[in-house]
Amino acid sequence: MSRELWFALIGALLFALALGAFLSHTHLLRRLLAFNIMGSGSFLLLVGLSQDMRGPDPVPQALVLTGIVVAVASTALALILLRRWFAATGSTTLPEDSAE
Amino acid sequence: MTHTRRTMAALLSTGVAAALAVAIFDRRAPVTNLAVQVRTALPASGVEHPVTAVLLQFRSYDTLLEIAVLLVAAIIALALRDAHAPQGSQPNPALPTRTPVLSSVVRLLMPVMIVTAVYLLWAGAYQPGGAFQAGAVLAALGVVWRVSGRRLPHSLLTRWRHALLIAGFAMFLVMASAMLLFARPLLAWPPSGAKYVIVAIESVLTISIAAALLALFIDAPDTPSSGVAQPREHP
Repeated sequence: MSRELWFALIGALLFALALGAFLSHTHLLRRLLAFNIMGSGSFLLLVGLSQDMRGPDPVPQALVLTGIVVAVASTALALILLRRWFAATGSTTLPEDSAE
Repeated sequence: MTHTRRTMAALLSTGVAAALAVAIFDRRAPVTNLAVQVRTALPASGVEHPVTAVLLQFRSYDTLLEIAVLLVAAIIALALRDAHAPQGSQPNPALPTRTPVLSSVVRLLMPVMIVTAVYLLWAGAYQPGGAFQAGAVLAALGVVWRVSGRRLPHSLLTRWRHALLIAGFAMFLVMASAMLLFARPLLAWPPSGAKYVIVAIESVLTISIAAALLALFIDAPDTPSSGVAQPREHP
């Protein structure tokens, strides 16, 4: 098994673990963290799989770099929305989740 | 209820992991080798580093949309500002920021971080680096400056803010569509001047990326001063 294939497998594992965390938690900050780890897992999967047995490939690397920038921006925006939500309602979960 | 939720989440994520593992091991061989194509086209791209060439030459549409996404995020952050919060950079009085060590470290770090950002921008032409890395360092400088209890220059937060935010996307878009005037496709830089176009776009992108990331930090609503927020009555 090549190192890149190993990266891809770890990426898939991270994605699945984070998906489980995303679904099982209701606290919005935990969901945001889980969502970010899902993103990291898919970046690892994308870069690892496309470079398996072929050496460095700048195209997926550039795609992942763009993805990281968008992930950073959307995480910051989600944090702003979360703080507004907390300031407005005093709650850290969404109404449909806090009903449980 | 929570127990059911956990079980369902565990079952679903196990299923996804199994499906991904099957997809990884049972995949088709790729038909094109993009790395070879990039290597062949690299001498004509105007830069020497393949990732920078992909970002600003071969797939520059991605980068154009990336800076648009950053701009949209910053605009939403500006729109969600607390209207009653004081404008500009107000240090949080609860934080012990006025310590001599912190102020000296920030003063020493400022020139180093600016030089690092310029270096990263320039290095992007031939080694890992580029506009986003440089912009992130500049934004980090703004964050450190703000956290240390200093005020950011007032004009940077009022008059210049919108110009700095929009400059990267605007310039990229103008450059991209200016190619149409020379009977070239959108975003197809002229081979002779590609290097200068890329350097110009990357420089302005750096500033806009820094401004957008900093706006996302500065315009975050303050945490309520009490430990637990009181639900606000809707009028």
